[in-house]
Amino acid sequence: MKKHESFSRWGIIFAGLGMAVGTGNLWRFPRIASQYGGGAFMIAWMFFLFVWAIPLLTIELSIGKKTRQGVIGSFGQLIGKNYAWMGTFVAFVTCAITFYYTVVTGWCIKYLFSTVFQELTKKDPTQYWASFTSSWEPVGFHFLAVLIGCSIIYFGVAKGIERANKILIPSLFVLLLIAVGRSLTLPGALKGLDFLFSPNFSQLGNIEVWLQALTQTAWSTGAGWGLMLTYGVYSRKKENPFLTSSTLGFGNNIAALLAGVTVIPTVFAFFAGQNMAQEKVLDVMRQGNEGLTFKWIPTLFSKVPSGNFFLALFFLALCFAAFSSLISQLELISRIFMDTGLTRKKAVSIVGTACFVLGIPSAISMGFFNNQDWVWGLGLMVSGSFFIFLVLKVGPKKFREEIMTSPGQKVKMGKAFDYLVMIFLPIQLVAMLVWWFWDSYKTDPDNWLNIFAKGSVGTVLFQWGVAIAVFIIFNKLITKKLSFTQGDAGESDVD
Amino acid sequence: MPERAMSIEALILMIAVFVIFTGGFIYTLYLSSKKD
Repeated sequence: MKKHESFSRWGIIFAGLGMAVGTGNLWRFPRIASQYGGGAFMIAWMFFLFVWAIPLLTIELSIGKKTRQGVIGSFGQLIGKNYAWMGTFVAFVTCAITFYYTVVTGWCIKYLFSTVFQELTKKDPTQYWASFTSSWEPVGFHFLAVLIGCSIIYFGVAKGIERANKILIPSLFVLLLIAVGRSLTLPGALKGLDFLFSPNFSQLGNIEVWLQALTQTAWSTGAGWGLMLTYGVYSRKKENPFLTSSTLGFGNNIAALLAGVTVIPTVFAFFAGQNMAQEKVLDVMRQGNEGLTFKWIPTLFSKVPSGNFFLALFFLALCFAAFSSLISQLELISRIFMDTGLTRKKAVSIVGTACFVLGIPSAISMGFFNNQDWVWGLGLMVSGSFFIFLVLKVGPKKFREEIMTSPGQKVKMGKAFDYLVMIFLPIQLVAMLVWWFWDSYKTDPDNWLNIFAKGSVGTVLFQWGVAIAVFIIFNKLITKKLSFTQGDAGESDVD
Repeated sequence: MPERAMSIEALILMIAVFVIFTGGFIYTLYLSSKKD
């Protein structure tokens, strides 16, 4: 690295929050929390913040801070070139997600424009969504999302990423608070809060509640994606990875809660006074992310006084959340190119072009979009396991004492970290995989391993397998251009 | 007496969750800034 770019103390907090707080907080959390036990889900979700998200974010941030290289370089530098393919896989999973995340960001921009300029609340949302997704418009908005995202990271860490997040994140929280205020003052809204927070303790015995809470934690906090590792490359030498990661974890969950407290009471207010209101609310939540956000939310706001204004605020918040996460994904990919010696300008140009071209299939086909979302969303489990493997290979104690902890650092993870990495995190991963296999087999015993069946285990394992095989075969070629030299964060004797 | 819109248990859990996350957020921010 010729010139070391870095975040300020507050810069990494805002950028990290931006990375973690994304569309998953706003559209996925309310849906999953209400479907899987409400209050019981909250307890499980809180538990996984401490035993999954914070440890993994701390691991990632520590690695980036130590190696000062992107994901591939970090794996090569810490556990040897022969394992660099693991970093390549982690990077690829995030890349594959970015290719369709830019499409999602484009949808958010489109709906913000439609709400502001075309009074979306006066249209039929289902028809509007169908005509939008079957046109070429998503490609144009996908291009706009890539262009804006790349323009931000083009200006670098301090002037681009940090500055953008310092605007996006506080604005997002203000918008969410306004939305909460509107939602809770609707008649019948408190029933929604009761539904969301009622602690039905019998649900805690349901393994699906725990697995959904874990999946939500993994998806929403960005732990295991390699994003925090990339931001760690630009962290200050005296950065405390454990404290910073804890702040991000708590902040991310606050944003999710605010979204939950906005969406669920609004849905309850919509059905207030109707028979089977709770069943109807659950039906809405079962519509999926796009169904809830782009069909139901406009319908709900159409019945609210000044609904179009509040709908515009909601989509503005969604755009802010989407961009704050998107720029961290684009930076992860660009960092890898910069590690090969390319300038930021060239790296961002390559990444922008690739994201636009490779995102087009998801922009024009919902089938392809859903397949990619399914395959690579689940791929994060493998990415997370590679990070755990890295720590185990280095040695949890050695990792904790030499990579996670800076000299003079007072607040740090103790020995519990070693047991967490050696026992608890692997158990969580295996439990998730076994449950997923079993659930898929139960749902569709004839097709669950069919590689051509939509949403099957077969299609996921096939695409993961092909990616891993290619990265192992071309490992030497991929790592040839990376120097794997020691970063400037301090000495390391980890081999 | 009118029916409560929200049960006491739900209210307690809601307050607990918000206090833990907000408290954790502020406390870790405070500890990070203290280091400098």
